[in-house]
Amino acid sequence: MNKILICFMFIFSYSFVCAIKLDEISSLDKCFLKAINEISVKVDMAKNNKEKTKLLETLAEMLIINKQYLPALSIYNNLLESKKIPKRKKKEYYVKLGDIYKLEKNYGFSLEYYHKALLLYKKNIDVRFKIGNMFLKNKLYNLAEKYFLEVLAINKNSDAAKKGLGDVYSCQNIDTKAIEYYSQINPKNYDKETVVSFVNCYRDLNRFDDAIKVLDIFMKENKDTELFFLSGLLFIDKKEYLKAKDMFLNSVQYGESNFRVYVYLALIYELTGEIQKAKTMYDKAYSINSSYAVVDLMQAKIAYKMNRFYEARRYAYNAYVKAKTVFVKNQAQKMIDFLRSDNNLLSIKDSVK
Amino acid sequence: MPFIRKIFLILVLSFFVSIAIAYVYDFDEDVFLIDSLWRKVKTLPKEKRPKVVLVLGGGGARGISHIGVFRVLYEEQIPIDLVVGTSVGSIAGAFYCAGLPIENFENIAKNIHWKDISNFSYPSLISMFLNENLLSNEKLGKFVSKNIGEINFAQLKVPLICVATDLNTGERILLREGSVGFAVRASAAIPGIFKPVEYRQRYLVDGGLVENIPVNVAKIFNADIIIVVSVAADITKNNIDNVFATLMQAIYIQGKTLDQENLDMSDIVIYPDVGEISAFDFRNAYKTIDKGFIAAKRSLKNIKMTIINKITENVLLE
Repeated sequence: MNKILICFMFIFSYSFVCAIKLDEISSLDKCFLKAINEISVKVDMAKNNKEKTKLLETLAEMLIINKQYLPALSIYNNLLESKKIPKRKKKEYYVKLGDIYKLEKNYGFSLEYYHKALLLYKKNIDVRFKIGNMFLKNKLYNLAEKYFLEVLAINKNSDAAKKGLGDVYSCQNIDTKAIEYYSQINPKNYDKETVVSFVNCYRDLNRFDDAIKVLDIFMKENKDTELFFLSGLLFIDKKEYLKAKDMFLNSVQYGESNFRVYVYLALIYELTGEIQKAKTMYDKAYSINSSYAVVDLMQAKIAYKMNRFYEARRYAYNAYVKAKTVFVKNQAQKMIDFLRSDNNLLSIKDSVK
Repeated sequence: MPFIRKIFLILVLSFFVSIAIAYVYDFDEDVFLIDSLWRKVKTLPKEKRPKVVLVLGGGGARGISHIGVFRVLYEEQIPIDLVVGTSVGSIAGAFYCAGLPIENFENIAKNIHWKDISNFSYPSLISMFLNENLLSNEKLGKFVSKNIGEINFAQLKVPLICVATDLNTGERILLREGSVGFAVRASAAIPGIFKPVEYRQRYLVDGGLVENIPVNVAKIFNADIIIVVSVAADITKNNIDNVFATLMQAIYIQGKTLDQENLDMSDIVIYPDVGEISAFDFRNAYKTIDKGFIAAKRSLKNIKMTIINKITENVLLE
């Protein structure tokens, strides 16, 4: 009863704090709206066209930030209709219109405006890159490839295009080609997403040493729980369990709530014969997320090894009930059958009776 | 919004958020359990695990992708108890069963030319049509023997069966004794291009005529698990603008139905993405091997799961 009360108190206080925060956020919204209104008034009072254009551009930007896309669209369309508009500005507005339609997921219109911008500046890299990314996001890999290759033809040093091409091939599981482009990127320009894709390509091809090298370079300056975890998996692939353990322990240091790390740490402790530590790790994993049947199954195994047969059977039953896949359910069933037939278990069961 | 209503809303939201947080980190239970079990399964003696038969289909140069599959099977220590091959499947099977290191195998495939395994060339093809004189694949037998030695089936590290066809009777002939080089040659003698291979008063040609994916043979030899590598052509993408290509297309169409029946009887099918590669094009060996590797990697979870499921003992508690 006390536990329920404490739990309720916690949820209530948490909600109270959140409610205050929500109040702060809505007051921020109010400030933003006020600023938009102020600029709108200033637009009407602008002394000349130049000032009016500048104010309208600021207003449109603010509307986009505030996700008010329709008024922003009409501002840019109006700006485009004005006379004597320079080519550079025209391109800028087309790109903005393309961006807004992209944000609205109206990709057809977005593409139309990007193309209009491209017609004005045929060798523009940024627009090509935007189009490439849009195709990539929509899984139109051949088209994405075309635009990224065009960017690379204009600027052979474009790391963004190399990344884009790497992504295009890695999404299609053409790992060798993806690696070809990822490896051309200057390591200084790596980001986490690129590194993970790059490493996974190497991992798919069982080139674990190369994958570890890439991770090491990036992790010199970027410590991250997910990357340490990935590194641990690579060492497991290499069957270097002690190094894998170090990586998982580092991963825990940078993010304590990563359920998978505890499960894999437990597996390593099991492999190195440290059963008690393995149990502690499974317990921790269980405390973070108790919905996975496989953790119960491993707990059953450990309990069996520690001669705690009743506990083993309880965990095995739990695993059977929780199992979400046929494979895990089958293994749980096998374990239940084994534990039922085990003489040791029967004798204990009898003694308890 | 009144303050109390906000609190209520957040209470409801926080309930859903807590559920969402629990699933932020994706975790494949099957993969974890397979990894954990596989450490024990791969060390089990033959009699304690199911009999796994690898069936290697025919498909000419597309069959180079078999090598990529072998690499995965080798690196993951998947036990193979018998290999059954047709045509290029026999060639690849012979190299694998002889225990040739995968690196050597890859190097051979990357440098192979038609002239190494036959007297096939465009001028000789024209001469063949003009003089009605079939080409010879005698070089293939020598090529195999040169790389794995002049060995018999009994000397192979993994048992192998090569499937050929009796040109007179249409019978399926299983070659599993005598010279490996000779058997491979018979199994890969493409009818209408290469001379049939004479064997015990029979004239043998490519096994693909009767069983391009010899799953039935695996069944005869009591396979518990049949893993098939299919390197069939994607017939919808074939160029049929000449007599030879049209003839090949006709053979592919006829074999397709038979192939499907065999595939349905297997447990796992590995499909390297090689449908568009011509059966006569050895130039892209590097890419073709990769395609086999990637396809096998994708099937790995399924392969291990099928083997584990067929083990009666409780491996987890061993």
